[in-house]
Amino acid sequence: MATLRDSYLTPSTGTSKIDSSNDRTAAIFAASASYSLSQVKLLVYRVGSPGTITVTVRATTTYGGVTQYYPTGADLLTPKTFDGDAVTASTDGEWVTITFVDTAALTSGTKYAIEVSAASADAANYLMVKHDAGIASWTGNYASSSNGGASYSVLGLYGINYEAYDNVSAINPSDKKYTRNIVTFCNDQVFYGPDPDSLVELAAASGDIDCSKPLRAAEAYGKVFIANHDKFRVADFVNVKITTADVGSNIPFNGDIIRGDTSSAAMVVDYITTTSGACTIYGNRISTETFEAETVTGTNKSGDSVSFTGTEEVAGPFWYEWTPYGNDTDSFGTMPTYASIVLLHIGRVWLMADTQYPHQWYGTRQNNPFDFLYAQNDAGSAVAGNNTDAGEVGDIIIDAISYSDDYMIFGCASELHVMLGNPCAGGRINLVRTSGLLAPRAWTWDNDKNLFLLTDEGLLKISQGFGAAQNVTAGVYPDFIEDLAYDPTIHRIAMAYDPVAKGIIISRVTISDGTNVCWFYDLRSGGMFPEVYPEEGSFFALWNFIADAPEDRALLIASQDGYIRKWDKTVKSDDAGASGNEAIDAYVGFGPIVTSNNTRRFGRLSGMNIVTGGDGDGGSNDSDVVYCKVFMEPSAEKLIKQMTSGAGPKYTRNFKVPSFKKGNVDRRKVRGRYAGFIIGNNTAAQSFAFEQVTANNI
Amino acid sequence: MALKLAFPHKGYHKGSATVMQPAGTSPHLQNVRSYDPLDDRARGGKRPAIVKWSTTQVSDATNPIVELVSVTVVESA
Repeated sequence: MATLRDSYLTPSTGTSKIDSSNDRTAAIFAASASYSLSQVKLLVYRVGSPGTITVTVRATTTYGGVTQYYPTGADLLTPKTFDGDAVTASTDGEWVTITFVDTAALTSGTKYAIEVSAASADAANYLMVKHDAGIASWTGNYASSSNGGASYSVLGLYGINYEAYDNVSAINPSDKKYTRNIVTFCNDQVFYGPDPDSLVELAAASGDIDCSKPLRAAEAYGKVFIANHDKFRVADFVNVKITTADVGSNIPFNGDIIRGDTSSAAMVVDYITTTSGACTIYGNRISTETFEAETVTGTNKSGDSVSFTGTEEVAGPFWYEWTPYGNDTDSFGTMPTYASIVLLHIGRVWLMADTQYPHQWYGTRQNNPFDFLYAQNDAGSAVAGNNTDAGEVGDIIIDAISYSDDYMIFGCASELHVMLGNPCAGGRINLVRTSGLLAPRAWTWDNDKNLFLLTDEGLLKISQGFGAAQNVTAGVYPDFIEDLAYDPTIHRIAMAYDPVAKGIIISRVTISDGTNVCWFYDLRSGGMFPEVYPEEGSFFALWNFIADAPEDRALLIASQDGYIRKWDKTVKSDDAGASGNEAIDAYVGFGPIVTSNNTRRFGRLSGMNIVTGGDGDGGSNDSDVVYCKVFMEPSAEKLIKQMTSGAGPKYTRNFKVPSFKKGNVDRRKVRGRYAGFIIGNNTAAQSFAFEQVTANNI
Repeated sequence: MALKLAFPHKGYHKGSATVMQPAGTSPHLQNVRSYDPLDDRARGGKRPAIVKWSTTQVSDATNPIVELVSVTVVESA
């Protein structure tokens, strides 16, 4: 949208006639500011049919010794035409808008000319450009020429009606007020960024974490809080920092506003490193002005005046030690010595998995993750399990899960507990179930707020609203946990809900080499589907990243080889990093199928056909070749063993053509009591969809 | 007697007698899902592949990424 910058709109009675191709009429004006002129308007009318009218903008020069101006030099932009035959014939005139294809850079205070000409005008067909009647107050002028601009006459007390606009640009609304970053922890380094192809290292973190020890991170208040056994750190993406040689006798507290006396910059203080002497102050700047090297003042929560000499502000992100505020344990309490669980719940940042006190939980003051002064007499106080009515949890805490502001679930070694409400205001802890959470990260939410927990009795589903727990694997796979054989000394579990595939991913990876066993629990069908992935791409953590860019939104995989991966249904081979692309070995078994109405007799099977997805037109949705192994055994159990081992199929046939084709039918006959088929594909860059198996049972 | 079998959408099942394998289940399968990646139909098919989300390797090849988290940063004043 253009913005009006200069104009002359005095009611007009005078006119300048352009009735020859050599005529020029120019509105002379001084630019009120420096801007890019892109559009002008002129008040005109026609007599007859003047044809094409040309408008341009030129520089000016003074007329002799007087302060009146006329056009000179080349066009300052590409001249623009309009149809003079289309403007009004009324002597009241019509405002015609001329939007140039480019712009003229005007300098504040300099005079310019908006010049009009009509190449086809003559005595009967001409354009009238309206101006005022001549008034003493107008200090501008207009200029006219009758010889094609070779010379001009100027009229100092007359002004042509015009409007001049700056650069035409659409003013579009923007709802974007934030940026989402992914943060990775790997090789004792931290990388971050919103864009997958431009992740950058947070250099200050390098070597300051120990990825060989349990490490968890949680977002809170624009920062990431890290619990890494005996290291507690903050990756701060929201604050700026200023430093001082002496913070003074009255420190600013968390939430106080301090201001720069010279710059007028203001910040809400978040964290300070010390309470005396040299100090770094981190805070969220709430002004457009930035802090200079200046005196910084304010009033703290105690009502005392804060004053110190600060340095120029530095922009983040920052990496620093997570301590009680100002490292002042007297006023802001003490953090646990060890912890490797961290999460945000009801405005507190919680720490658990203290190896010295494994039943203990610690929560900071609400809205202040640097205040660990427990058991103060208010509902927002920092809190720890051993000093509340709620008490400690009755088992070793494996992981903790926040569920809205109502519940926090403690997944313990052999029990599940839930904390209801605020432990500083009537909250309590209840035992939910006597089964233990299998491992850290062995839980996830789906989009309907159903909670899934991998426990020592199977995969539990706790329905929305904290309903009764349901074991979803007990019936279909009774020895699921036994077969999973999770060993915390060598394995890691990762679980996450995939909103695209609408299912739960469960992964058990062997830490040393990336070998893995995975399951996809399909929430639409309720089926459990085993999967396996390349070692390089195995899952050490999963995170559903709602990136700013739609194409970057995905359930992300923290992989064994230091890459972040995702699922892509348009790709048919797994990325195995340095090992290249790897074929996906996919197969599905059907059976056992009784081949005879009388199980004492063998039946026969023939006319085998497999209809796969696609219509065979060579499109990307055509299935590739699938193999089919046909098994026939006298007992169902033997059949399953053979299908599982792959040994002893009666025959194997490749079905090459997608969709139904008459020639696909295999006429061979096989005989047995129970039939089974394995249909699959294990070729790189190939995939298949399945429609149905047909056969004749005779 | 014509035999027509659809994909076992109820997935893996070994909770019953081998002669009573429930309909819609499979005793042996791997890397397949109910919804095929070629056309997003509930007909079964090979699972989607995994690919690199980021071209940045945040470690050398011997070190896994041990933790992922996201942080939302509000644009400053």
